[in-house]
Amino acid sequence: MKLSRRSFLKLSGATITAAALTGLGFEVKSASAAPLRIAEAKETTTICPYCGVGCGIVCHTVNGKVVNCEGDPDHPINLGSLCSKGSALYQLANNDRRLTKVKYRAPGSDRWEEKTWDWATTEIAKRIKETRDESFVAVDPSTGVTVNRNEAIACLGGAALDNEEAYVYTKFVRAIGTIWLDHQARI
Amino acid sequence: MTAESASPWRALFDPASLGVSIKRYLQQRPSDAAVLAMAAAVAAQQASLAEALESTLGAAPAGQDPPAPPIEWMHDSITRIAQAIADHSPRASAGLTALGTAAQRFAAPRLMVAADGNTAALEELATAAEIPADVALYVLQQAIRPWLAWLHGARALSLTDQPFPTRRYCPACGGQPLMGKHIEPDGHRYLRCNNCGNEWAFPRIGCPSCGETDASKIEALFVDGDEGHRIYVCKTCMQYIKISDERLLGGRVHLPLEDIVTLHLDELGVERGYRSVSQGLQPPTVQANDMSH
Repeated sequence: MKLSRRSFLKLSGATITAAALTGLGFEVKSASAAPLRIAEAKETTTICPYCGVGCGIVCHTVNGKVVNCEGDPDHPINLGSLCSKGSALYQLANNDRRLTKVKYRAPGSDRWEEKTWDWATTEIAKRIKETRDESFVAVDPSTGVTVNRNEAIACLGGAALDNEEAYVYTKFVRAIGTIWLDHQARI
Repeated sequence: MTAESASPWRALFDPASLGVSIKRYLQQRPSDAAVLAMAAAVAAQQASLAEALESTLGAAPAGQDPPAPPIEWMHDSITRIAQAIADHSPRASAGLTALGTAAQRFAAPRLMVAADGNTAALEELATAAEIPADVALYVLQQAIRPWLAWLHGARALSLTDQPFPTRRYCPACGGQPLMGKHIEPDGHRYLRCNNCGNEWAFPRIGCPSCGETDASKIEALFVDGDEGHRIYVCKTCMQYIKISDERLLGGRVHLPLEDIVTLHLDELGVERGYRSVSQGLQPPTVQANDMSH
């Protein structure tokens, strides 16, 4: 980088410090004497999925992979702070112990079996239907009032659900007569 | 005046944070000893000049038209800063010494104009001292900084708390950011004014040049293994800002020093077609509700 007296900074693209130190004879590239490996990271804001507080998170990704998660210092709820569980959010994306396939342990069994998603959703639907049909109360026997309720299934929503998901979830569990409906954030 | 009774703005020239940083960098990159020694010498002179201002002039005057610094103080400041740089500079030391003498022929307003980058005034001064205009500009800006800090310091203190994407200019003096830092413990971002040295809060996901807040338009670049030093480039306005992360660098940082030790990142930004925010900001792209500015 050579700068004449007239090659002003605003034209050269160099900063004042870079141009001046070069003019003074300092070696301003000493930190990059060897070829540097440059990493490119994205910082994206999101909301912690773990509880109903809704803390802000800044998620760092390199080439689409999550490399770090930290509290969002500009978020009005948490101002950058996170609880111990939120601080470990990185492990939601990067954890070799995280299950990625359906595991099933039959009643009385001592081992886990690997199942397909199709099998799992079909089995869940079948058991919900059986339980609901066995326990469905159309009329309250003590009062004779029509209630159409299912007393054997309880449902629990999660803090990770957004408004629309929570609406659909509520509609579904009410449609099968469930009266025990609560939310994880109340725990 | 003791350190305990000094005004808070003088913390901008805090020798403690500078000393810790220099010690750390000397261990990491001994080949930079000369430039680090120069930075320390300049900072020491600035701290001394700031103290002299407050001792002799007291508190800065309130008002819309800032006065020019006393000419004697300005000549003294230029001479001392130029000498501090000359003592460590591999070349141009004779010219730097001459710069102090050449400045004696300039009135304070003319020197202020030159420090602001006015080409004619800067050329005149640089020609008289026979040094590159870039060097003359650097010396003038370092010399004038204690004055600007004194002048705007009192006003700065109440304007720095909440981050707004529209607060791209220094809320105290209207200057542009030199660079920024993410502080301990929670990573709040502060920008440092390239003029008066004031520091103010700015959003983490936001471009200090155009105010872009779309995270998909902003990218962080860093040297693998040195994640504490980053540049955040904005694809909307094609400008960048350098950031030092105190959480990754092991404590408080002194941003003028950080500016010097991260010049390779400036080079990286320029190579990729970006321009530093310290060289001027772009028109805003967002209309945020900033009632305090």
